[in-house]
Amino acid sequence: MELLVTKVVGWTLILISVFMILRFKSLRKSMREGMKSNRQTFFMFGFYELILGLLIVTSYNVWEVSYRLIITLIGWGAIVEGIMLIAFPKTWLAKVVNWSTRGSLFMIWALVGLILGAYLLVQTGSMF
Amino acid sequence: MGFRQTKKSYPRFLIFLNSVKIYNEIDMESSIFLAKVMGWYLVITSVVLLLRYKTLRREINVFIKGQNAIMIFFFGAFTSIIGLLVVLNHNIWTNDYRVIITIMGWLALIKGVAYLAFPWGWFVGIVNWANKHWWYVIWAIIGFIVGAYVLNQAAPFF
Repeated sequence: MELLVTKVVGWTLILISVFMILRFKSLRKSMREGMKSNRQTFFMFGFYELILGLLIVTSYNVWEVSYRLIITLIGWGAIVEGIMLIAFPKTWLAKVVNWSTRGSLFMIWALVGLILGAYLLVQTGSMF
Repeated sequence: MGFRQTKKSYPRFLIFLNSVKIYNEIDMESSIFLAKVMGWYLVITSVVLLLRYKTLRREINVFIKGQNAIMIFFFGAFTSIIGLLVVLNHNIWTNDYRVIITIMGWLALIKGVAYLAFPWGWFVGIVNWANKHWWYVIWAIIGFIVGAYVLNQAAPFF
């Protein structure tokens, strides 16, 4: 189970980071426009993200200083982000989205995700 | 999850080559679980498709005109997570019902990556091509048959 969680989180981080870099402009534009006109999409996404975060945290809540901490933190981050997407009013959420989709910050998160994903996959020993 | 290194002579990154053989012997439990989930999913969605394809078709047309591109990114992320969960847990290539689960996992992964990668224009083209009523009926029938077959093979009495 631990190995499976590590592999899935690692591959997911790599996939999403790669497409964040490749489709940077389009993703940023559609996130900002979507925030203006489609609040309900973010609301729905918040529920999914909350479920995924709760799944990770309930099955894998390891607090020790090694690669396992990354997965625990990602799970807690998903819970916090899910609650934010569900609970925040539109104006707050628009501020968060505008702040976090600035070019430099967006690229930094994508690179961090790529490095963390690759690190997790190296830790599992076999990537597939 | 069943990754046991039996021969040290393999390079570590090629371990998936012998994991296929090991899976066939020990890992029936996850096959049966995934077969139940996917079989019921296929049966339920096929019936819903057959009953409500007109509404679904209309709603998809509305969605395509609405320029709600961020929805596609979200669906892409979640579909690829589901695909990765199935593929990394269950990558069995045999000639019985288990290979259907593997193929469905790979299809989910490919679809998720396509959602993440394709520009909105391509997506509109694909949906306009696929959004025909006979297409829905054909896929619903295929899905029902495959789902019922998988369920019957894996768990005849649930």
